[in-house]
Parts: sequence; structure tokens; C-alpha cells
Amino acid sequence: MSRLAALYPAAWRDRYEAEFLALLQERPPDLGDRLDIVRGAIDERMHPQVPGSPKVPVEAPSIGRWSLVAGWTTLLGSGLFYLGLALWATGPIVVNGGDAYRDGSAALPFIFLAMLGLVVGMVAVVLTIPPSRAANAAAYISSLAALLWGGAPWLWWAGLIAFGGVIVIGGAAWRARAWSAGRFAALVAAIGSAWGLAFLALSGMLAAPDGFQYVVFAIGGLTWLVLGTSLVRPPRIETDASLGARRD
Amino acid sequence: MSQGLTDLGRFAEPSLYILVSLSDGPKHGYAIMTDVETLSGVPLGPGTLYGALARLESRGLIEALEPVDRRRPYRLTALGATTLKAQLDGLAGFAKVGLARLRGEGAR
Repeated sequence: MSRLAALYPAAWRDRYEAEFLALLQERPPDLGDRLDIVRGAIDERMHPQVPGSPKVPVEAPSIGRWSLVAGWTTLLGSGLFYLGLALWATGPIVVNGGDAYRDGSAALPFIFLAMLGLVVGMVAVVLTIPPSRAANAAAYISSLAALLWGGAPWLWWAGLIAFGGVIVIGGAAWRARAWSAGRFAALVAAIGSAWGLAFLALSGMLAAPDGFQYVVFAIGGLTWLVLGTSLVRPPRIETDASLGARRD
Repeated sequence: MSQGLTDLGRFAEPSLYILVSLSDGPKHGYAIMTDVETLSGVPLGPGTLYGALARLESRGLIEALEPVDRRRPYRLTALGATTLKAQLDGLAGFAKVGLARLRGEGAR
């Protein structure tokens, strides 16, 4: 249980850790409680509240710094995704009976790490916009689906849920005016066209040329860039007042 | 809700429950959790509880007492009591108007 408390910043632990651990002893946390604690720790790191702590900034807390870290992590995920894609595209040809296919298993660890980066980006975007039930739910569900898809990309439905959730989060960011319409449109275009082309090809409505699947994945990879750059670059429309309202 | 709690974002509702829970006397974290669950029917997670407690404490709406066996009780401050009364008055007025309108619609 102390590992859960360790997620919080040092100033918070100095003030609350003893009673927090006593509470967790009295009521051992279930999965929902653990997720709630993780979310609480992220909140505390992004919006420090500990009274009297010298680590509590009065204005402009660590939103910028943490956004930046999350943004670069997401962009790193983008690089890993394209690296995985390159490994897949250049993997050895395996002949199995009458079938021949390209073995992309070397790409799997990179795709999984890339999905981790995407999860970081999703959570960070949700935490930098005003509270939104839809975005929160999308972040929880999509994160799980993204990690599942990262480990098993053949589970197309998990990928669909993961990237569908990213659109919900992008929509919430746009509605909150943290994202421009252009950024949200770019996100929808990247995800929509990648998945749309994939379904057209799989359903036989589109004759897919050789290498078509790599193009589809490459388009989908733009998702990381849209999310990552939104965190690395400051929001387009933002005021001090709205930042203040978001701090909590 | 008055400005006192609206700026708490997602912690506004749990904070109101916590203030109500403390209105009949000091309680420690676990007692607040169980009381809020009884009051609202909604479980209060530990992360949300301590996020709300920290915000209420930093705004002077509650204060921490000396810990007893690692469990630290909290109590409502005078400002907290005033804020809670304003919140509840606002909600009562809102409920009154809503019910009156509902009755008016039902009579049509």
C-alpha cells in the first residue's frame, strides 16, 4: 500500500501519508480505489494543494512542465510506432504451407511501447482540460484497450476502442477550447482515414495494393503527433482565468 | 453552488459531501468515507477523499486536529460552516423552484 502513497509528491506524503496509509489499512483498496488513488496522485502532481508547503506554487503550477514531459513521451511513442512499422515492413518472409507472409513479430515490443506513449498523451490531455465525464471515461477505457491492442494488434476491436476514445478526448479538448478546430479535425482525419481504409480493404470494397497495410498504419501514426504536439505546444486559446479554473 | 466550491472542479461534489459529513462533528478519513457513502449512496475513493480534503483545508473550510493513533480527525471551520450553509441554502432554493415548476407542469 505504501507503493500507492509513493505515487504522490514528497510534500503531500509529508503531510498526509501516515493517515492515508491508516485509511488504506482500515479499508483495503479494491481495483477501483487503486485507480482513484492513481488519479488523485496525478492530480496532486499537476495541481499541488498541500497547505504551507514550499513546493506549492501560488501561480502557474507544474502544468506546463508535466504537459511538456507527457508531450515528449507521446512523441517518443510516435517514433517507436514508426520504428515498429519499419521492422514489420522489412520483416522476414515466412512460408507456411501454401501461404507466405511477412513476420512482423519483431515490431511488437515497439508497438506496445508506442501505445504506452499514446496512453500518457491521452491521460495528459484529459488532465489539462476542465473535468469531463466523457473524456475521463474515454481515457480509462481507451487506455486499457490501447495496452491490449499494443500487445496484440490483431485484436482490431481493441484498437478501434482505443482510437475511438482518442477522438472522444480530442473532442472534449476542442470543446474546452484547449484544442483548435484544425487540430481536432487533423486527429479525426488521421484516425478516421486509417480505420476507414482498413475496413474498406478488409471488407473487399477496396482492392488493396501491396504494402497497403503499411500506409494505413503510417496514417494512423499521425495520432501520436497530433496528441504530442498539443502538449508540447501551449494551447491556442487559453486565458489566465480559464487556466485558474482548470487548476482544480 | 457558491463560488466557494465551484472552483474545486471535479472535487466540488465530494467536497460538499465531506462538509456535510463533518457538520455533526469531527471525523477521520475512514469515518468520512463511510458516512459519505451512507449519505450519498456513492462510494468515495481514497484518492478523491484526500484530494478534496487537501483542497478544503487549503481554503480554510476544514482544519486538521491532532492525530489519534495515526488517524487524523478533521473538523469544520467557521468559514466552512458558513460556506456549507450557503451551499445548502442554494440547493434548497434550487430544489424548491424545480419542484414548483414540476408541479406546475403536472397541473397542465
